[in-house]
Amino acid sequence: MSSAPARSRAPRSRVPQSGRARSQFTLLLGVWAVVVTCAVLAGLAASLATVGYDHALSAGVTTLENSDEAPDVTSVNVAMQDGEDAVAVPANEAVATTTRALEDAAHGYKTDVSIWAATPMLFVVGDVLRNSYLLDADSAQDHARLVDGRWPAAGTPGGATPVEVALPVSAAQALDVKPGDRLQLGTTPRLTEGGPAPLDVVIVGAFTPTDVTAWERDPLHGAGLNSPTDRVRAYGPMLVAPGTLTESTMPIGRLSAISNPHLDGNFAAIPAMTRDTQGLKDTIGDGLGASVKWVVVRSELPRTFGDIVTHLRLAIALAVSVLVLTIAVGLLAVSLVAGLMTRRRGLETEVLRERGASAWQLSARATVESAVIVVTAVLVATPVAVFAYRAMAASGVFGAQWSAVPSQPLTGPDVTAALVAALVTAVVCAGILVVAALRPTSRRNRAQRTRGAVFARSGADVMLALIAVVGVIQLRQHTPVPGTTDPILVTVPALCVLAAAALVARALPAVARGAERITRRSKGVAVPLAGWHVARGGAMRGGVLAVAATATATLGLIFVGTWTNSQTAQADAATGTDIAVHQAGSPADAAAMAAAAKGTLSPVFERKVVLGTRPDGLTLFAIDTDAARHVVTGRETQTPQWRSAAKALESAAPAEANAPGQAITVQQYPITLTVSGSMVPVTPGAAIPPVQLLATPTASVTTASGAVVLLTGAPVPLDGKPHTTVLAPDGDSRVVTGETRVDAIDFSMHQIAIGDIFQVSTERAAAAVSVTVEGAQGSVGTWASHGDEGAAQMRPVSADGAGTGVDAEFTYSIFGISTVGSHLTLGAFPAVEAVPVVLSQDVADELGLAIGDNIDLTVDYTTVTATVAGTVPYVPGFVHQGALWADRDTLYRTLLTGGRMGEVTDAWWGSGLASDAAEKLRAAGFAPVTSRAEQSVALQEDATQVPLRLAWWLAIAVALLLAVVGAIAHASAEAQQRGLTIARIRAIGVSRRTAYASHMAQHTLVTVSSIGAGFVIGLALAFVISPTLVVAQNGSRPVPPAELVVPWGALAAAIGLVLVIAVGVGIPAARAVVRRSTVAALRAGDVA
Amino acid sequence: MTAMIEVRNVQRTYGEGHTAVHALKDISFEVGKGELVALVGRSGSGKTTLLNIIGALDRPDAGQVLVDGVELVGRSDVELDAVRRDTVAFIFQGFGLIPELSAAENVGLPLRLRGMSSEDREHRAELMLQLVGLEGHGEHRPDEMSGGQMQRVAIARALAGSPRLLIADEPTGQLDTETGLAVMALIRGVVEAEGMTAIVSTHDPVMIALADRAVRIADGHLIDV
Repeated sequence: MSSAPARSRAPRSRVPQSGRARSQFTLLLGVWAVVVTCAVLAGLAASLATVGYDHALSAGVTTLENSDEAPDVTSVNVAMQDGEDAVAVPANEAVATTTRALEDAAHGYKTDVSIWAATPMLFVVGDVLRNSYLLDADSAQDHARLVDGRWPAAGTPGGATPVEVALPVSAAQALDVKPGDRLQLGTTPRLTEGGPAPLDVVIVGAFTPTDVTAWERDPLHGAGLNSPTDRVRAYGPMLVAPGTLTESTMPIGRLSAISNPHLDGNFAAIPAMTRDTQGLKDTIGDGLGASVKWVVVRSELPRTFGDIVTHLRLAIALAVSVLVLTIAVGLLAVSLVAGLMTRRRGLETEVLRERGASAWQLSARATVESAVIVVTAVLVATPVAVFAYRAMAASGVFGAQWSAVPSQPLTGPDVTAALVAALVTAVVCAGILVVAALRPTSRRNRAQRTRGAVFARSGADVMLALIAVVGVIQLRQHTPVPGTTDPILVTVPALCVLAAAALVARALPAVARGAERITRRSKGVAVPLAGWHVARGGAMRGGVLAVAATATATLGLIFVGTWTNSQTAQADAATGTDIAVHQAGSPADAAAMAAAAKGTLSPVFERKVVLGTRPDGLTLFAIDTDAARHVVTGRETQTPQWRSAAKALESAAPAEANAPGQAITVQQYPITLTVSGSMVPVTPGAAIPPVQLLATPTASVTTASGAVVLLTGAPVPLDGKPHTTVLAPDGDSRVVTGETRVDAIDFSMHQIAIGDIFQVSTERAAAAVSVTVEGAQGSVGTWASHGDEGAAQMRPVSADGAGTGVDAEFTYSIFGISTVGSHLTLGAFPAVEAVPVVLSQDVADELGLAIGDNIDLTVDYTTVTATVAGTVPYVPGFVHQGALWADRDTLYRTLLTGGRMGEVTDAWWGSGLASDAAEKLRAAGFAPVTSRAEQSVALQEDATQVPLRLAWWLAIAVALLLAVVGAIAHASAEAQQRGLTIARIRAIGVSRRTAYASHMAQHTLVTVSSIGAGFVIGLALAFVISPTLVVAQNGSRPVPPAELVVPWGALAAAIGLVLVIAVGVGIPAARAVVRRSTVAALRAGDVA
Repeated sequence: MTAMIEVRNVQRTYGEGHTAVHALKDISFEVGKGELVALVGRSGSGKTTLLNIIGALDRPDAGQVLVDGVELVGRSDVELDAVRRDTVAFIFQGFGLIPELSAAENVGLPLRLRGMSSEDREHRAELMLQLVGLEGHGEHRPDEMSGGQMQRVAIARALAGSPRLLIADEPTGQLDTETGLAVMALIRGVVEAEGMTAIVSTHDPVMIALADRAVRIADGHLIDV
């Protein structure tokens, strides 16, 4: 055939464009469908990044607002100066100033401001030194139960009628008052001539606080009275009707204001609100003037909102990255299908070239066709993307948090974003189609191109792989910075998948050639022909898409499994146990909790303590080491490091309560003490000063449930005679039943002069005291003893066990004790000088501490020595914060050894409880209650993570679909390519059945090896990078670190299904190519 | 002489209606055993269609075709496959080689169909390549050979199975004159040496001269037998 002369214009095609389109309808439809898929994905990515971002942020804000911890509220606590020179601030002014400041800071959000205002401590006029105060609390009645009488009516302080008040039952009992009784409150203990008039109050009711958290705003925290070890007993509050104090001009002592903005999911003004909140301290301080002692403003909103934004930005970035990866796989599909089209039209293109068509003219033809595909694809993809996103968002599959926020109406910018993304992607696809259309298809040019392509590939894919390796190394060593969108997290996954697919595309043919050696020796025609074609015919090229798509789907399924498991593990670590009730409660409460939860809960100490010079407090967590084995849950507790630390604490813990010589226990209630004592010479032969001591005993006992209770008796004189005193509990609802262990007895000593003490020759005196616990069992040999080293300089001399009691001697300063009294604390156990603690690793690293080091902790103003017994990566329940873990009993005894009598229960932890334990506990009035199961669900359904979950599920679905598309494209390409070969082997006598078997064998081999390779790559990538892609809510590494979880069942089902479909799509193509007329194929092949 | 090929009143039409093409119109002729017959005609005369029918690649619309006494008309696809496998061998104008296979592998293909062991197969393939003068070219692929070499490989493949009838459709159509002559001489020599019957479509005067007789076909009719 002679070549035609070159022409400047392309010849007119004899086949009209529309005719070409009709004859290649199926192929064009396939191309169009893949372009639409890529464009829809891009539109979805845009929707996620715009509408999805707003929805997730709104949902996050709504969840924040509805959470028990109420991080959106701003609490302001103000204390006014006290003392004689302090300028009183009227209550109404203080409340108005504070309320105005809070409302202004709310920046337009409707806000509820709750005020609890208390007067300064006033004296209850009478002979005994007692303090009390008025409390005007607008929400107190919502958190209390009326036990007697009625709630007070509004009144006017200083008016004609007494102000009506209600008292906590514990305070009423301690003051021995009942409804109808009257008291006077004044600035001095006794009325003085010409002094300020007292305030008359009448008790009208008694109540029990029901929500400990709410009563934190009360100066006495709802206890009704202060500790018996405090200098002056205080009782209260005297609750007045709302407005009685806050609208009066009475001076204010303490003010607690809580501002609760109604966010309603509207996040727009939150940044401005958080800025203004940070300036509240100065605003209120300036408003109230120099009378302010301190102002403390607390708001978790800046941090929590910041965390939400950070987490969401990261999730969106990751989601977009995942979708970009999927789009990249989609572009591979476009490339594959474009190649198919090029081969189909190869003859036509070569004829046009030979007749003088230029590259520009050919590209113009391809561009027109591609433009039609782009326009129609975008017209379909944009609404599909927009409405698919909205349908998924409204479907409810993403959990309650996401569904709590209704979808916003569609806006122009939303549609524009999707349109632009779809258009850009479709144009890129079009570019691929145009480039593919211009590829030479003649044998000579194909050979040259192949050599060129190999050369280019050998550089590009290796370079890509090297970059991916560097990326993986960076990713594994990298620590995400909270508050930032980490580019490494975002780019590495896509890089890895594409690099791996490119390398496998190079490796698979080599593997195929290895397989060829096996097929060559086999008999028959079908298998060897298939093997030869796969090894030498370039069939594996068609597997690249299946490799990349399957790798993406595998990585996605494993990531979802890993991520889900990590949320559960993080919930385990964050809660530390199955159920935690964060209130101290009483022994009666402990019994009620156990009944509601259908199981036992263990008391837990969890409190901020001060460690040395470390500026921020640490949390000291203490639980009985026996209970810890069953109650503290989480992956960390199964590690050798944890077991070693637990063993160290166990070995130092006190022996069982009933071990001989270890404790004194009582079975009967109330507990009675027999106390006797007298003054003794300081030194042998020295004169005894003319004084007598009055001792008020308080016993610290541990009940059967593990709760610690303080029981106080009446004062007894140390006059040499024995006196019995019955110990009664402080508070109203404390019931002591069952076996009770007496842990310590504290004597509040006051001195009474019975002569002229200024005539004594020494300033120190000595005394002896003996105390026996009546009806007790057990004994303790040596008792711990502690004296108050304040003004009285109380110093124990000896404390020896005497049956179920103790004989102690001590000295003190005669003149120091006179004014304030002092304390002698005797612990019914050998002194514990230091409490072993296990540190969280961050604390140990920060302070350079090692096992055996001693540290000083300040616990409730008491300094305690602690010895480092071990370190753990984190203390369950206290992740993301420095924490120490100790045995509760040991800590308790260490505190008692240091003279600190007080509650050591802050919460109750339990595991293995009923599944509805949390709800039952809340219904019983206990709050707040945290549940590991609920926390796990909350993390999994976290609205800020929905974009990421959505993106991965889309990626998995589309990738699986593209794997099938790859198989279809491969089957179609092979049907085209092998048509002539099939005809030729048919001509030499190969049966249709054998030809069909050969074609299916090569299709199955390519499909199975490609999908298999993709699965292996996805699995390997998941091992390498999947856990590092999981981040915590604040954007940092999760605690504990994410562990790889491979959902074998889901993987087997998904990959298996794709395999079956992908192999199955080869059947019709094989049938078609085998059934095609041999004669016609031979004739067409001879022409080519 | 017993006829190897008997064609009786064979007709073959492609398409329907006014676009129907009557490729063969009532063709009848015979080819005796051991004959080398040249089928002569212009392009579009029906040569290839007739050869395809004789070679069991196509079916006539009417008439009878007997090859070595076996009636082909009415046979199933499987039976026709057997004919092509055991009795007939084709040589095509476009060589018909499998591009991914080497020369030896191409030659060995028909032997695989007969279940020959790999050692016997490789030995026979080597022998065939020797026969056609391509000793040492067994590992070469089609895209590494000249047209003449490829056609020799095709001949070797056709002879590998010891067919009784060799059908060649313009075997020199894509070759230059000198190569074509060599190929035709090879076919002639093989036919004589192996005692097989051959029918070769050609419009090459040299081949026509080498044949025992020529059968001319024009416009679907035999005009000279």
